Amino acid sequence: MSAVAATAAVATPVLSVQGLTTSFRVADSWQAVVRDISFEIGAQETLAIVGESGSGKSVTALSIMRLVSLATGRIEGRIELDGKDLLSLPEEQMRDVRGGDIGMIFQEPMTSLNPVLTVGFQVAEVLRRHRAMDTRTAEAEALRLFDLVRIPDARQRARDFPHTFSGGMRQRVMIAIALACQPRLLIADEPTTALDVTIQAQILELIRELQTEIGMSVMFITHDMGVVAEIADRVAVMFNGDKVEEGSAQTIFAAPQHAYTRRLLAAVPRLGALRGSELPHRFQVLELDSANTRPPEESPTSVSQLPDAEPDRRGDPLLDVQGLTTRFAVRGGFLGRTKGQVYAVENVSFTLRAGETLALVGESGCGKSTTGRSIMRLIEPSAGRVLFEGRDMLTLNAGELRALRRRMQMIFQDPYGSLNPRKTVGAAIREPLRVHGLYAGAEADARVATLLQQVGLLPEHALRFPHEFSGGQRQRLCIARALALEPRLIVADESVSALDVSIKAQVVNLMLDLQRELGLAYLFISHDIAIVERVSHRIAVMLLGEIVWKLDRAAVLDNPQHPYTQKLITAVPVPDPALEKRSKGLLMEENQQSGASFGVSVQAAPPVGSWAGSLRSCV
Amino acid sequence: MSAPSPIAQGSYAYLRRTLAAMGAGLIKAFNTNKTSWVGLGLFLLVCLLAILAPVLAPHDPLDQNILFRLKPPSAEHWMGTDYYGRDVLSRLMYGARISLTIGLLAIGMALIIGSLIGLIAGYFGGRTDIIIMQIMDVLLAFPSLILGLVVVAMLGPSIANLVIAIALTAIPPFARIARAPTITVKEREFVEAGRALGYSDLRLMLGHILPNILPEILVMGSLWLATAIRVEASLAFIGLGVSPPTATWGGMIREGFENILDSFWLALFPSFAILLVVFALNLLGDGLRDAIDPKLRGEQ
Amino acid sequence: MSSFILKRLGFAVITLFAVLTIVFFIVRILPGDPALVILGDQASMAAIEALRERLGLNQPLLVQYIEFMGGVLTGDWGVSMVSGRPVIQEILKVLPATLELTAVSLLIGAVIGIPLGIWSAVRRNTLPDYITRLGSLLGLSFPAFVSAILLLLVFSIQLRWFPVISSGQGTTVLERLRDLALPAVNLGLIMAAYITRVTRSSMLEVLGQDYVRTAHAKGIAFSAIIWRHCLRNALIPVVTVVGLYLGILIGNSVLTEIVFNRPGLGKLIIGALNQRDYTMLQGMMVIYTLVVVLVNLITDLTYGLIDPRIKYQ
Repeated sequence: MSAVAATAAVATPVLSVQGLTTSFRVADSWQAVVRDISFEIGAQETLAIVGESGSGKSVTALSIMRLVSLATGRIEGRIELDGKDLLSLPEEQMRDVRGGDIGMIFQEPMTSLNPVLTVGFQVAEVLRRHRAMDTRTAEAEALRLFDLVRIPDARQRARDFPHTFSGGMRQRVMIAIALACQPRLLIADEPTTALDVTIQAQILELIRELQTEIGMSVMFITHDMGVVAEIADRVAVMFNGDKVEEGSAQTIFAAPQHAYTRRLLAAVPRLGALRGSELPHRFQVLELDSANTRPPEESPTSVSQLPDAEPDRRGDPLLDVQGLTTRFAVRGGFLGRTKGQVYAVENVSFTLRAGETLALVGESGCGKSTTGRSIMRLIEPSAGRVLFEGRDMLTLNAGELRALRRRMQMIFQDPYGSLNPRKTVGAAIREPLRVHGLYAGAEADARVATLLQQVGLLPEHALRFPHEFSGGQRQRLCIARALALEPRLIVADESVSALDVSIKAQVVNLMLDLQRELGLAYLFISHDIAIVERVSHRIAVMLLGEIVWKLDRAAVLDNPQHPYTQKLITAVPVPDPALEKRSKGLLMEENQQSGASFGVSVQAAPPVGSWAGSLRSCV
Repeated sequence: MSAPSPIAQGSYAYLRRTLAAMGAGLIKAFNTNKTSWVGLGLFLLVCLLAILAPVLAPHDPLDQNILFRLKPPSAEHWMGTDYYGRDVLSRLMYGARISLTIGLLAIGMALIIGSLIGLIAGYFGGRTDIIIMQIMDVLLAFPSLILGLVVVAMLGPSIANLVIAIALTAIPPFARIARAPTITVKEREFVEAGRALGYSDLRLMLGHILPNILPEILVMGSLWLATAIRVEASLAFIGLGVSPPTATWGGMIREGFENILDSFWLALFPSFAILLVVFALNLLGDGLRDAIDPKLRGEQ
Repeated sequence: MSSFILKRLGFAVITLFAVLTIVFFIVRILPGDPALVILGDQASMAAIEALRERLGLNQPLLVQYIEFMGGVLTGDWGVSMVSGRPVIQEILKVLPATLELTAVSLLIGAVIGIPLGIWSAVRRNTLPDYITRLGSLLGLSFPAFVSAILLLLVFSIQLRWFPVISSGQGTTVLERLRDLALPAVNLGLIMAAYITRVTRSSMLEVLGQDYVRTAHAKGIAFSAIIWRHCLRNALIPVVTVVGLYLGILIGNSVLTEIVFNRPGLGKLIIGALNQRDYTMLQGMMVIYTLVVVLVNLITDLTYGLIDPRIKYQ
């Protein structure tokens, strides 16, 4: 945390941006992506730039670095770093600024490092470039930097190539590169978005500490209000290319002025907001009042005062999973012989009732997605029983399976990938009706229209293609298609994770409404505990293929017993800057994170290397 | 909820909309790189000349005239005459029919068989994939001209055998071309959603994956048609084309090459004809590839 | 690393085995009867039967296969039916000429194609890029014999700079170079067209990668970004594709050797086809197979050298 009082006017700003407008050439005209925005960042201050996708926040960062392609982009306005006008610098001198005076880290640690150069070289390179070090000095300094960003065993690891590092470790290397020349300003563009929540907490803490150590300013770009509250002194909110509001972090959270900021904050799930309640609860969706903003995807609903859904507690559970185990064969060698097995899901058991939501929570690679797919037999489980409506899914033949699967459907993460781009949405929703012989002809058309209305779309949308819809609308289409077969259970695999926060709230509301109307049971798979709190009746936490904790939601979140659950919950950034910024004690080495340390039987824990490699599909 | 009035009238409306979108997409693809229009125009022109050869050709391509042997271009014979006094222009137009027929049939065959092999390998993956693609790679590694040469030499030079020989060499590349995007598309969630919705493998492969990989296959089709025409001409040049006296471009160059010192135009005109067709097809395919290549698409 | 080499080596042996098997069956199973093909339609039944006996065609297929494979391994590739000399000797006599031609062509192709491809990618959508793209597209549209004939017409017949018939038997370095120049340029330019295009598209892809943006953000000079950060990554697919283009190179070398009347495998195989020298043909297929498998092994290993990720797979 910097020493600068957040509300004080910036006396001598490190970075001053005045009237920045960045446009891109589209066809034959220039289209502004960032419009006339101004802000300043003081010494050792952290300014967070917040916005949803398409708000222009990343383009702002690239404009400051002048990394917008000159062929297709145009930067106007004035950008000063310590009084030096960056936009009028010759390219050669601008290169001295990049990496020297301004360091930058990016969202995707997996692809931001050059795969054919050792990480040590990539750190030393920037030292040789800006600090005129010879090769040996640079290498020694690189080792020091590795220690600084807490990469263990630096001497050894410096000689390794990026692909041998995990995502969090790669982001540390990126930070080492960005901070190598002790820059005046660090620009961090969504640096933790691609990381698991516990790793995110470590990286945020590292940035905070190094900021104090080096004495630099930070421009932190993010879409996550929780991260903002955790790291920012001041906040600038961007929407659709404009800066709509700026102020100290406390003010923005406590008394947001602009309608968009208010809407954004209302849609942010706050972990602990439902403390004491047993049931899921809808988000409050605010409407934007100003005319210059894009229309919201759904009009404020009139049903906001409906009662929350309660599960049907009578009779047998809808789904009863016992001892589910799924192992993947690791193939290799000639003609793909089986070399070994990866334990993706081990001995998982739970039940789910009609009208109930069970959330499956865990970090990437924990086996939660594999569990969902194994239940539907999209992946063939190795052992266990999956009783659905009293019948064991795992013993059915292909025909029976197809018939029973109708009653359980799945919604996926990627709203762009889960609809066939070459089919009109009407045809996509109609196809399952025909395949299962449910409706035909005019009846089918009527059913398509009903389904579209049910998810908040219009019947005339049937003739459009998926690319004509926004991300949130596409997720609605996926829900409509899943509902076409009148299922009783829906496996929602990270179904809202890829959506912007305000859209996410709307889709969650839709899912809750449908649950109440149709008595649907959800298996809600997510890494996002704050969302999970909002939607679930019960929670199961997964770690390394096993369920480590399983209880009613309130019991899991309000009073977590298992150390891993505690860690997971503590790591979630809370969107409230008033809370003391606590050191979370999470700087535990991520590579040491093995099952054993959390009381999971070591047997189930596969070797870390093969684990990470083989389970990419699990994310 | 009141029953809403359906907008779409049955699957026919969707089909019409889909076809319209495909047409618009095709035109857009052509417009991405305007050179593909040039390629298409040139290729259609050659096709037209070949189809209309019986009407347009000034002479009978087989008509020998010993008195008019090896004459340079003139008003009567625009491209001169060959060793037997046959009209080169007419032979060129008839030769186009052979080149195009063999090329189109061979590539059509290879495209269908190869794509299905690649689709199956990519869709099922695992051991099926490894074994199929190993065989394809082995065939791919072998020089196609040599393979074609041996096959034609054993079977004898006829149109049908040339088609088989050339198709055989073009199957492995199509299998490769179809497999790569199949694997990408198969990983997309709409395929898994389809499985969850109870669709059969066949429906997913032909109804969902194939339409998504078809553009890539067709673009490669036009590029491989160019290759097929080049291979056919090469075989004919070596002496393994459709037997004389039938006019083939490669055969005409072979005869012209024997008289290269005094009558160089004999080899020159058919050479330019082959170059024109192959270049036109490459322009067409290359331009379209720019339009569909996902790697280049996102850059704008 | 050593396990990677061993794996590739084992792979090469399996491929070799598989291709040889395919070669064997193509020659045997295709509907043409080799004896009939050799002797022609007019031959008497007795003559055909005698030849079948001599070629071992009357033995069971499996016996033939084992004998064929054994022969390949021990260097006994049979005797030419035309010259009566061992096939392997005939092939080894002309192999150096073909290897010389293809190696020099590949060198020409790489020396022209790689820099041109990089330049074209860096200058994307400018006039030089358009010209390079169109030029390379034209280059790979040339059937090798057409470009060879054009070169021959211009440089040998019109300008008389080079001999019309290159003997390939020159004794001095200068003579050899004169013989080699036109054929190598012919093959090399076509190769350059292919390599330019692959390099360009691979370079374009690399230029759009996140790690290139990182390098820019580090303030590295543009030339260093291209050479240090992009080139090695861009060459990875180029190496693979050059391996795939070997088939095209071999086919084109046959056509080039015919046009320039240059001794080599190309002329040998055409001679064998024309004279129906069936054992020679079989031997040619074996040598081509060996070359293809060997070159693919080399590209695989090169690939492993360039890309550090390979060793761990």
